Amino acid sequence: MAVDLAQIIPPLVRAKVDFILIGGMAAILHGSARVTFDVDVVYSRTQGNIDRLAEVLAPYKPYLRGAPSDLPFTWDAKTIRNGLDFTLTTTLGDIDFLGEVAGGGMYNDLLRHCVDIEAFGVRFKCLDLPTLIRIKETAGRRKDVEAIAELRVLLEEIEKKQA
Amino acid sequence: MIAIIFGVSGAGKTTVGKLLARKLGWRFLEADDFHPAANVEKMRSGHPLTDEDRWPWLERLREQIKRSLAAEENAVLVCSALKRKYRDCLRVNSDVKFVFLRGDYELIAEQLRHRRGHFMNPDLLRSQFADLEEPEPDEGVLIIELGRTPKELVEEIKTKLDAKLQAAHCVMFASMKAAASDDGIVRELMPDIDRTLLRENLKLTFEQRARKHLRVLQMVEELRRAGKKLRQKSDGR
Repeated sequence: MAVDLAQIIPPLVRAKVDFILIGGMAAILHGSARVTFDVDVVYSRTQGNIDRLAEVLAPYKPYLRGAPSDLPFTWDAKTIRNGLDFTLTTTLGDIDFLGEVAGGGMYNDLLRHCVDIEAFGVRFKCLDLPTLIRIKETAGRRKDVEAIAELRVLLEEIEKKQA
Repeated sequence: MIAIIFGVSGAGKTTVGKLLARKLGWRFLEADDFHPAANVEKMRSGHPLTDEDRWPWLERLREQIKRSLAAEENAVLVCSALKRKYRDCLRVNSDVKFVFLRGDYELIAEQLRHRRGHFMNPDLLRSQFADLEEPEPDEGVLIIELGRTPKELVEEIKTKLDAKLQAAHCVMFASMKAAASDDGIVRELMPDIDRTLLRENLKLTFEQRARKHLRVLQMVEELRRAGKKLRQKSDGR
């Protein structure tokens, strides 16, 4: 299922969920030409935010991606509180909700490395390009090497354009 | 690193925390010192704090932890942190390690009876145990069983913290090593990146970039469907 940011982002913003778009989709918004199939989001772990996230996503039938269909999984505030990172499949597409990201920390740590994006009729936070690169570098995954090369070139192009 | 020693009142957090801080040469922080005056008064008069009372206090603690980490200052913080949500609030990042001092009601009550100069009313111990949410495995908490001298407890905490620190350093070293070798590959790949595609994307708005990507995804799906049909057709032959 082709994941559509226009379907995912506005409900989260309207429900006042504190989140930051990261990963491949954030790279797309910065101008990357690579294809990505899921949405990665870092969410704030405050009590209120967990409650809002649980409520807003529930109608989209979130379930653990790749888990057996008979696994007892309930998407609610308690489940979110007891866990940290959730790789989900929903009726809107695949979404990863992360409490913490290696090399970047938690929601509050990432806040100062964000840009505000206005799109789909709402305003939301997206990780800036240098931090996206840094996180991918810290992760040290071989599969990211080509993506890092593209993001570095993208950063050069943006800096050239700004100059 | 910030080591948070937690447990119910009477567990010996302050004694153990101070000893640990001295042994490691770290700063010592007492969470009770961050309580607003109204909270201290409430506890003195024998009334347990509500969640509403605790949040401003936890926020102050969280800010202090962030300040210490930003200044690369190591510290031992002693704090009740009885509930998971309090600990989650204080877990600013992976440099915050929790140490739980575990003991049963009788053991703690006995320790509390011998205590002087503390504003906690011993009658509140029962409510502390009622509030206590023991750490769950995914929290990565060091659990220290009480019933030994503070010196022995500190030795065990230090050994376990050292092991955690060492493991963290190993991971960091391995990723730095991998990153250094990957950096050369990244630089080799950069000239092969098609800059024209990126330049075209940079002319678009954020929303246009997202919609363009969605069209590509839809095309990929269409191709996948076509491939599947083709396979089914050839299998049927």
